[in-house]
Amino acid sequence: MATYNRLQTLVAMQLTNRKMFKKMKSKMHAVAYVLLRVLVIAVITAIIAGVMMICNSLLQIKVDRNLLLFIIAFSQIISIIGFTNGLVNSLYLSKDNAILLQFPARHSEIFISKMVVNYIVEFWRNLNFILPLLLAFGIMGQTPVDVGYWLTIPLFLVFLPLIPLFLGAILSIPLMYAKRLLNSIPLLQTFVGLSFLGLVIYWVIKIVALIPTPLRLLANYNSFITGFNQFIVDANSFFIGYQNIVNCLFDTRTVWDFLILIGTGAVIVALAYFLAMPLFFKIISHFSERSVDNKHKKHTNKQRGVFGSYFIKEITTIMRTPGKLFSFLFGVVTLPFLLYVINTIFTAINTSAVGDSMIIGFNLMIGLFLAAANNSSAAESISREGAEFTVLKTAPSQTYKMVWSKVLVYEIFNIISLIFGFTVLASITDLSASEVVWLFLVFILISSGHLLWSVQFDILNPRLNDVASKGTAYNNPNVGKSILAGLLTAVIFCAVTIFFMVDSYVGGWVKLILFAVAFFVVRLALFMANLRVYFKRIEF
Amino acid sequence: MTELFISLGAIILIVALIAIARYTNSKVILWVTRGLSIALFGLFTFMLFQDDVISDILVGGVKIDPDEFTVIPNFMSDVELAWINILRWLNTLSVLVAMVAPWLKVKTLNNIMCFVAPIVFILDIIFFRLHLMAISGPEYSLTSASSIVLAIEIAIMGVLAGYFLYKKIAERDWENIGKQLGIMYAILPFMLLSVFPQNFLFNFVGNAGGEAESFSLVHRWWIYLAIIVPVLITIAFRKTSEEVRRTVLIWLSFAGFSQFFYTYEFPLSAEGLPLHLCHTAIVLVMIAYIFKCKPVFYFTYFVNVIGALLAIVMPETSNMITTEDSLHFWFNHWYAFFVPILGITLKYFPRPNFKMMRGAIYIFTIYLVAIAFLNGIINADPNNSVDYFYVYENFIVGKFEFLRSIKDGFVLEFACGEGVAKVFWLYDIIIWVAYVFMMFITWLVYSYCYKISDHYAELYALNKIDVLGIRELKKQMNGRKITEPIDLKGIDMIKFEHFSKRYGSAKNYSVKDFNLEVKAGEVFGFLGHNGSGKSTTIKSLVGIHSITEGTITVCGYDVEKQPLQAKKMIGYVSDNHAVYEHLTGREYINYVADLYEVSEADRTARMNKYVEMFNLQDAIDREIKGYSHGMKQKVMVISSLIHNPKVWVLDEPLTGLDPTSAYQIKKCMTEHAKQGNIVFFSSHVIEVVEKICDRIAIIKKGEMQGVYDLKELREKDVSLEELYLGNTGAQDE
Repeated sequence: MATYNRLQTLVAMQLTNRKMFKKMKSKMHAVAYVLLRVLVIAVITAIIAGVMMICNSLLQIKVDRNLLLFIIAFSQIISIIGFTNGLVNSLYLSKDNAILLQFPARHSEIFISKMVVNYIVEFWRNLNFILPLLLAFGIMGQTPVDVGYWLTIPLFLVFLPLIPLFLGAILSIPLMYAKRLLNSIPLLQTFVGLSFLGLVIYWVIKIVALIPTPLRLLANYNSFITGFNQFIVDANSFFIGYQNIVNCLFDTRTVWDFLILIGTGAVIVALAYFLAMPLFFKIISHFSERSVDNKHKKHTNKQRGVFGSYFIKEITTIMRTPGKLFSFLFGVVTLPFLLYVINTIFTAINTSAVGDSMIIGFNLMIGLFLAAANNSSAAESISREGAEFTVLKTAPSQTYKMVWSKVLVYEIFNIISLIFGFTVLASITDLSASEVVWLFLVFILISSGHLLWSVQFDILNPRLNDVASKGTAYNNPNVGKSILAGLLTAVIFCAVTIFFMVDSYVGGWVKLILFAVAFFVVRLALFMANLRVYFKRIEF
Repeated sequence: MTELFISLGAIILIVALIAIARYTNSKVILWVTRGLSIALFGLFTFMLFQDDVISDILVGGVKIDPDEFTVIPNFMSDVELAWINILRWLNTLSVLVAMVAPWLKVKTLNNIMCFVAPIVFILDIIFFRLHLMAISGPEYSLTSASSIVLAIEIAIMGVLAGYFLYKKIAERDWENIGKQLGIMYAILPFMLLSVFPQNFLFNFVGNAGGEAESFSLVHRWWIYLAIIVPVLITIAFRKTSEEVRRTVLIWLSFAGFSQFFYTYEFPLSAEGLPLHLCHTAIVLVMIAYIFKCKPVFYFTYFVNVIGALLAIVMPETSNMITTEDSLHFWFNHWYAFFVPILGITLKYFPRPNFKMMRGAIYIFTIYLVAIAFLNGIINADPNNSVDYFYVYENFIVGKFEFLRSIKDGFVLEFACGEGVAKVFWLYDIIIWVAYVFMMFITWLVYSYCYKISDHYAELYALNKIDVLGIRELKKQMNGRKITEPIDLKGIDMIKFEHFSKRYGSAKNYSVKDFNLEVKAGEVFGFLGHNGSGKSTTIKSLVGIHSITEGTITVCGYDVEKQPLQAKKMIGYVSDNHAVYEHLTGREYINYVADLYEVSEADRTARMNKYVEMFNLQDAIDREIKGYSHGMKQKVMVISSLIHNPKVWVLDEPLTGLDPTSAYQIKKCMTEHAKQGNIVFFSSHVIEVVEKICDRIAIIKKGEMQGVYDLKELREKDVSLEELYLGNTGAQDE
């Protein structure tokens, strides 16, 4: 009983810390909250059902149990990768370990409490994806479902999160040691990351090279769909166990299928219990020791301007943090790669005048999607200062310049990425050189506008306390806002590009450039106004 | 003769009104004028439902009969036609103003009644027959209903205009008359535009301007106008009095009413009732604004606006924009779209909450049920075909085939007259759900817009505070530079004067009415329990937190008004040992030195001195992430002293330090004070405070308990520990 009470306290504490659950002011609020959640699930279900309807009727992709198995198994793989990486941070490197380990609780209880918290998080996520997916499949899927299908859904929701979570717990142990090795040699870490990325790029380029020229989408569509369906069937043959798990949903189910679903969960939980739990405290204590002792070349005490000092500090920090450096370099590498892939496909298609404007629009949109993803980390650039923000608050200088130094760093990496990207674009696309230059200009303006917008989110709602206390801002809403703003901007610009150019191609270019300039100017003005007023009012 | 009768009638009535005004109390005349305005509304509505003959006439001498596509010779000269178009426009404006002016106390309306309506009245009398010809054609009759109603309408408008003019003269309301007229003439064109006659453009240019659909240029401009107009109205009137804002809204709702019923004609058929969503908006928004009726308003705000927006984006009109049909469509949907929105942006109604949304859903439910049955009942007659609310049209079922099967598969049938009425109940429920869902989405969009507008209003206000702060400072400096100390008497001290701090929207103060002076050369200890307000006071002193009330000056500089100058005087060691872990100790200290603009020579000398003092020679070029707690604290101490501050502030500097490190920092503190500087620090360790401090202050629950000279305490043989425990109440506990 005492163990249970302690576990309950530990779990409640961690969930509150993650701001996952709010205490409701009244029963009405609770009911309203539940209704809202149901509404959200209903909306997601409707969207997925809509996509399934389009797949079924328009795209001729069969939404049957094979596709369902593929999606579930694929999402589980993503979850396993996510957990393996995420548990390294939340289980072993989390700042709250220092607090939790002080409590009069066994190490095993702390471990279990952390796993329960992660389980709840994953369960919550599944409510927003797996549940709507299964509901939508039940409504729109081409495989008939019976009452058993609907009754099995709750079982799925309970057991599915166990597999990636506890498998991730087991796999995080070797990863932790690998990370330690890589951490001791930062350049090696970046090298390994980039090598992996290079490998992925190499294979995708190989695949892209297989695209026939000219690519006649409609003529080749049937063979594409046949190939796609066959790919799903082939891939599913590798998902041993999941075939039985998904079989639980349909009328071909047997007792064995249920036993495998429950058994797989139980075995993985048991494995984690016997493998990961005993090592939990050992790993924490081992890795929290001050073992890094990087000595750097002695520099002179040269005086710099305030902006220069901020900038040098930013660059130095990035260069010495392999994760950060990698994410910046990832951005630099992926844009050219992405533009290469989509434009290889585009150039293989014979297009009309409308098609040409669509190519420009889609290039812009896909590139901006990536820019939105890269810029989203700028939405926590000030928050990442954490407790160190104290220095800025007490400094007798125009500390807002620090924000510009951060913007500049992002901008430098963005421009490098764009130069590479548009060089690739120019070399493979049918667009003229001037069109590529104009597109480059439009892209810089929009991406820079979005970057400023992202940083503005952080200025208005910095999460310094979260970072100071937990080392990171969990569920940072600014990042979500930045991504949403980026996606919307990308879609809107794609739409207006096509819209402008349908009327007149040359006039469309002029309008597009003016629109991009207007977007940038507005974002710059708003950013500067917010920076001037709110930055000095950030309290920590 | 008729004109004479109207004039005489009007004059007699004006005299009667003046008599009432002079010999009865103000309430009587108020209600008499209001009674006349209600009568005017009835007459105006009657006239609205008459179709003017001139609506199909083109300036240029032809009349186009749209039913037969024949060209009929005109019966008016071009000049007459042009003039009567303009006069009828002015007449509509004057009559509408006469309707609302008795109810609203707004100068501009009064001035229009005084200076515009009388002229229009005289012109109406002079060109009365031209009016009749415009309405009924060349063979008009003076005894027809429309002629009589028009005569009475003009007469009442004239009566009210005359009364308002008399009132202005009697009350000698000529103060700022130039400004009053200026405002009136500035607003008048916009009021005229709001009641723009829908046949006006057609009369002058015929079919022209292209079609406003499929996002053509015209269509896009029409959409932009739907957004620009409410924004401009909000900007123009958001800061005016509630009465003015109410007037704007009521005026727009009346303008919307006149525009909507412009094309209606008596008698209305079962198929021509104004029951579509955007049609109901026109009437409901009027009711909402006149009677300040919240449920009706929120219905229009959540429901009508969506309908109007959908209509604006996907218009159901393909006429040329200059035609009456096209302008009718656009005016109707513009008003249905933005007039409800203005109710919120002009703060006439509060922003909606769930209760209001619930009310809107109830009314929508009643509307939908009523419409579903009404559609069924009217369509029971095979000669009728109505689709109020447009729910059964191909527009929806054509796009979603499965809805057609639901519509036709779940029907409630009942006998109605000689036919059968059908209610498509399941389909209607689905429509209800979809619409309610859209209402919530609209609410979400509204909320987002509120958030943005609130944010920028706050930004504007804060910016204003900053600007005013600088002005205030310049005033206080009385000709001196704002970079000089504001308090010349306090240039060698820290001074708290009635300092209070409250966090965010918290009710209680963390520190309340705190007063203290710390002089140069002192080591000053600041004692108190956890949560007593020590760190809050220190964080406000060094500029991390804002100051709620009172002032803090450092070496004569006001921390709030002269933050940069004040901070330059301070060196601060925080309680969280926060340093950039990926920098080396040297890089971090140089970084701080750059922020304090310390020269290369000074920083090198000081860094060398302190690095040696704290034995950091081996660690200074290593990354801080490898440092121990004590080493990090030492780096912070060095960086806080790198500019040789006059005030050194340390928050719990000795927590968690080993004896050697603690000794080194204590030594550093006393040495810094000996050089004529102030050392101000908080601590829990009473022995340390007793040993190195000259004076101490004790704080409890945000309130100062006392300031003590340790030398005096020693002379009186008072133990600091007992004094502290006594002051903080810990001894009793």
